[in-house]
Amino acid sequence: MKNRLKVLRAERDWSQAELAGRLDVSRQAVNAIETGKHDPSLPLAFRIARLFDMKIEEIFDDEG
Amino acid sequence: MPYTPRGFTTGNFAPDEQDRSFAYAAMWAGLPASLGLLLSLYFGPIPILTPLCSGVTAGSLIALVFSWSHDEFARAQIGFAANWALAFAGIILMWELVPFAEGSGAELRWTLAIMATIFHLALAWRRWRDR
Repeated sequence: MKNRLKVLRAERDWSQAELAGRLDVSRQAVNAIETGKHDPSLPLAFRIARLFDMKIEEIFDDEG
Repeated sequence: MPYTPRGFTTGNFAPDEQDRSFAYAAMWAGLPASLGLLLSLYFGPIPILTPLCSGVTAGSLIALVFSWSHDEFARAQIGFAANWALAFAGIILMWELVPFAEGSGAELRWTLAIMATIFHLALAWRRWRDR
């Protein structure tokens, strides 16, 4: 699944560790989501969407 | 600065990013330890090294139940590795059911050491794939 997490993080000048701290996950998890190696659970996807004040489908694209 | 205990016994343990990354990295210790344990079983016990490998291997597996620091990504990898270890357990059980093979299985310590090694090898492979 494609996502815009890396772009959104870069726009805010956050490191992976910083984003991980805000999402309550490990830095490795953020890296895996950004590279498309891990699809987040629905609760984590909601946390990500809330953090960036966006809708889930604005961040994740399941047709990619 | 106010004292805010974060220990397991306080009942309000909330792992932060560092705790989660440490828990993730700490699982790597199980791979050399389980391989060391297998070598110890094959070549004979080595003082200090064999108890150390046994302890780390056992600890890496027991801690899975009590670790609150693993996030969903780490849990997914652990689940993948556990599937392989359990598949090995299934093969051993199936072998024991074969009439002519009854009682010819490996010793329990060998079986468990191989199972632990399969778990950590599968975990390492999954992490390499997810890197």
